[in-house]
Amino acid sequence: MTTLAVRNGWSLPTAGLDVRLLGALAVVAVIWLGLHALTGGLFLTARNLFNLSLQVTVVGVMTCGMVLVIVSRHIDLSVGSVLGFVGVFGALVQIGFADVLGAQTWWVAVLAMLAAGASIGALQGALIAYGGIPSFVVTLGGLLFFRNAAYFINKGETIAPLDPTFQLLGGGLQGSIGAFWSWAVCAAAVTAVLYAAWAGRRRRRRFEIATRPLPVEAAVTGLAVVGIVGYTAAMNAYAQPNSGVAMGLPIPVLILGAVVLSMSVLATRRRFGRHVFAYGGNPDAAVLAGVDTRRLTLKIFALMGLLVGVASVVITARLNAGASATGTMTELNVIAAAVIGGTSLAGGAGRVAGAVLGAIVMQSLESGMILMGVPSPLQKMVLALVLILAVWIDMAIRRARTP
Amino acid sequence: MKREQVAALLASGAIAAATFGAFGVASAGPGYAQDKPRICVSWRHFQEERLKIDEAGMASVLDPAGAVYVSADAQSDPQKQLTDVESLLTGGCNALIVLAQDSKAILPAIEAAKAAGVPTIAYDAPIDSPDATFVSFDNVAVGRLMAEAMLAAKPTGNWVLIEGDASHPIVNIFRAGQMEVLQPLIDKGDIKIVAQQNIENWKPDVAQATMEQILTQQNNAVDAVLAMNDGTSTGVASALASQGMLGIPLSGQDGDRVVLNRIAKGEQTVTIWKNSFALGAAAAQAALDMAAGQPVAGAATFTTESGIDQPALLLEPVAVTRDNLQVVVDANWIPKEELCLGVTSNPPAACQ
Repeated sequence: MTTLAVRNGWSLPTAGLDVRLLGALAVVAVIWLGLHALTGGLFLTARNLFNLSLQVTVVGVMTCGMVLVIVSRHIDLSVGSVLGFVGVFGALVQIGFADVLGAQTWWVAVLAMLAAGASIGALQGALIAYGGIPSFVVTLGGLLFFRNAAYFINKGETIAPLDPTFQLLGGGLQGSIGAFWSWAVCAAAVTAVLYAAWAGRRRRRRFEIATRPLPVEAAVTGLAVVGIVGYTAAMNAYAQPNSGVAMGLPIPVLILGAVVLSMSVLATRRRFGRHVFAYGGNPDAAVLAGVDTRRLTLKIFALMGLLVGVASVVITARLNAGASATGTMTELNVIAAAVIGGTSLAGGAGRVAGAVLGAIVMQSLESGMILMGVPSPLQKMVLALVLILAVWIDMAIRRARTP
Repeated sequence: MKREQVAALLASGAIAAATFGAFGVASAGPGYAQDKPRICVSWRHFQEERLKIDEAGMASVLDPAGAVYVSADAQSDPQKQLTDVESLLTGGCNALIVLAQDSKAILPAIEAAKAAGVPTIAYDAPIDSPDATFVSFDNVAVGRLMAEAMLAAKPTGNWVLIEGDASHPIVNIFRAGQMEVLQPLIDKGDIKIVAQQNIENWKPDVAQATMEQILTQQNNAVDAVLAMNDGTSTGVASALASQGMLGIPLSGQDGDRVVLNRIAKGEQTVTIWKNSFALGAAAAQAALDMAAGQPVAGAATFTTESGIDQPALLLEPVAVTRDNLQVVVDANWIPKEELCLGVTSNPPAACQ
């Protein structure tokens, strides 16, 4: 691997860095600065970054699972429909059991929604893995089935308002953790980043693998720390409109953070993740190596379903309503985000963090264009072109790096 | 036989059983009596809250008359709707009611109906043909009533327009009605339209994100939001709530129950309510008249967007505000308990 070349002297592209991830970060930075200029200084305000964070969570959470689905050479077209179905289901649970459960309603509803999402995912996964039906077909069926089921279970009626505690999970006026706890989370995150850098270097030295040169390591770690502190400061700078109390980190962002972190660990540091990439890279070899690929597929789709459940909790709480049209066509946004983030539709390659950056790119453009007053058909046309452009550039980079 | 084959057989058997079962429920089999009039209905997309009520309205006229009701659901697909109408005509119809997905793409189906001698009703949405009779609410009046109710609440200031999907022609009709009322005030400078956006597929979550961006852009200097339907107004209400602005004038359309509840709580100004039960009943009666070869009672002339004249039965919609919430309770549209749920201070008359 490239890391071995680092031992004697160093140059940036081979310094053990993920160039494509850094590239994606640079693209986000350019887009943000461009939109900031085009919106007359509105884009990079605390308020807009706060909005953007909330708007990106739903697609962001789901795209973390979609990466693994696509890496394993499958596709899940049902996520938008399942998102809507689980939302209506969760709203029905809240309305139906509020009298019995009282203050306990919110977490019962959350658990029910997560369980519903995971079961639907597992069911589809089982049909794909053990029934031998292509995932495209199964999840296309899921798309039709659950979109209509979302209408059917409540005759298309919107259900609102929802449990007040449940609403906090969607952000909103009260759904942030305030300045003190935001700084506490920030401090914990910074500590974790520093520890990870230190522990990583120590581990690499112990196994006698080349480490990144110290200046590069410091720069990357510094960038992460500045990013975390800067973001926290921005969220604390945004005050509640009436009371003037600092909002701090919105709860959905904490949820997204937890999902990204655990999915990254799962994808890169656990056997499950290695099996997914091994299978996606070469299915036959994975089978010969003794990977239970059917069980693996089932798990991937169950995990995807669970994440759809998480996203559904956030979007339903945020809208404060279970509406059956919620999430229509969202599957395309999720897949597009994963692909913009460098996930290869041929399977075997992709990164969770990259996919979330892809979601941020798309949402930034969309939100920025609304700020500019761009008509909605034109917004979609721009997004379509960006999708194609992003994949084109990504493939050009890949070709250049693998002669 | 291998296990897979058994499974496949069982599966296909189950699918076949389910299909025939569904047909049985839908049309009670092909053995219909020829002397009863068959009224065929092609729905654009049956999965909408209100269409069940339209259907009940039709049944309220067709059942006592002993007519047979057959229907198909195009699932928002203009191509499927053409096939649906062909299948319905093949099965035999005395009159055809079409809620068209696309006012022009549906024309070959209207031609086919005409060739088969079946009179056609364009239900709720326009069809661009002189051979169709239009039964609908007056959609220009929808926009007009919406704007009037909002003006009564806020005659000046910064207004935001949240409109429906840009690809739906009816959006232009609603806007035309709104502008009949608003344009003079815009020209005078009393009202300033500070932002205008179409909402893809009228989705509430998209409306929420859009409204958040508009509030950011305007730094909350927004005095009224003219939202075109209740789904989008639900998204707008959530965006307003996260800025503590819930309660500024907000419009909608459809009479969704959650919206009626919001009106009772003082969180929304108006929803334009179209009693779809009455519309369904009117269309069914017109269909029976036409099937019997009689003219439709009370029909006027309607001119479509492309200038074609057709006979039309246009019902007047109702603007529901906090002052007349009683009408939706009286029509059994919503139970009083649901309407008044969570209404604490300053209850409207309907909740006292």
